[in-house]
Amino acid sequence: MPLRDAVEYVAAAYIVVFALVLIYLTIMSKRLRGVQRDLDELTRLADERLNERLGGSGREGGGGLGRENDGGRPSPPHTDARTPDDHPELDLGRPESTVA
Amino acid sequence: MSSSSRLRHLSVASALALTGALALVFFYAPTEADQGFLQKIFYIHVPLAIVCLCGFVAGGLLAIQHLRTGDSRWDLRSYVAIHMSLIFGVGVLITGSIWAKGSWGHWWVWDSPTLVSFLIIFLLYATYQPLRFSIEDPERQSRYASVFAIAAGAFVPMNFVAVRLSTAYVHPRVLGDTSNLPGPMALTFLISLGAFALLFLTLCMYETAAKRARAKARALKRKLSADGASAAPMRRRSAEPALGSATAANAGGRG
Repeated sequence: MPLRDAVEYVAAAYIVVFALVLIYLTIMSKRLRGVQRDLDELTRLADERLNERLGGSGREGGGGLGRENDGGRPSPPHTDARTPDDHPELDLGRPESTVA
Repeated sequence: MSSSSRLRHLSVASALALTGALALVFFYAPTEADQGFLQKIFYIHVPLAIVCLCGFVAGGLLAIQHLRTGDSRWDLRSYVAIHMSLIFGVGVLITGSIWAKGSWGHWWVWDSPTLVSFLIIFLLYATYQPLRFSIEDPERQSRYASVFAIAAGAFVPMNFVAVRLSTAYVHPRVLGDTSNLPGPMALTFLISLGAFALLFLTLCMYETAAKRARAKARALKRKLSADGASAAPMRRRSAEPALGSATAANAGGRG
């Protein structure tokens, strides 16, 4: 077979394989974006829950969440600026801890 | 080492190994006397086929582990191994057809036992996903899929031996007594095989991590959802393995 023809066949074979891998990675990255959206929604839900709890405990005189988690230790003042990071029970994990 | 850093290291190793294999194929391995430059397809086609068939067998072994332990994580690993092998199988069929066209003048040769037997195995595994999708109950789905994976996994080596024993058609032999690859070609082939095995492993781990992350996110969403109805364990019909919520929530960081 002439070299030129052989080169075409060889190039086609290698391109097909790398295209397959590329298509696969594209699909996977699209799915990971879906996971990212889920995590964003989870963060929003957790924030809503946290705000509900903080609002509820604030009306009861404060410290409800602190007593729950800290075994009766005085709880820090509640402010809206607190995040789920302050509450281990609402720790949703980090995306990088599960997916590279 | 955490799952993510292991995955990162594997990805880098795969990329380096593939680059090295490509360099060896085109700059080190000598051109074959009979087929000439066309023989370079060999270094991509045969490793893909070997890794693909090993992946099918691995899927069966992982399915045995799933049936033994009842842990859905083994089912997920088996599913991912078979899924990835199917993708590699597509690559094998396409590169094989291109090689056949260049070498024999035909895209497909029906009287070659090696080609036809590979096609049979591929088509057999192509029914794996529809089988899973046809069963709604996740528990039954995972058990039936495991039984299928074990039976089909046992069929792969049997098929391989049967083709070896057949003498109707002489297909190039790479491994075994009949191998006549010179040193540089054999070295290039082995490095290419290692590179594709690494790629397979990396993509399997990548997909497993992605599926676990998704299952974990969904389980947490159900838990966090204030709505009582959505808090119930609802699952859309899917061919993908269902990870138990507890398992999913705990398994996120594990590879």
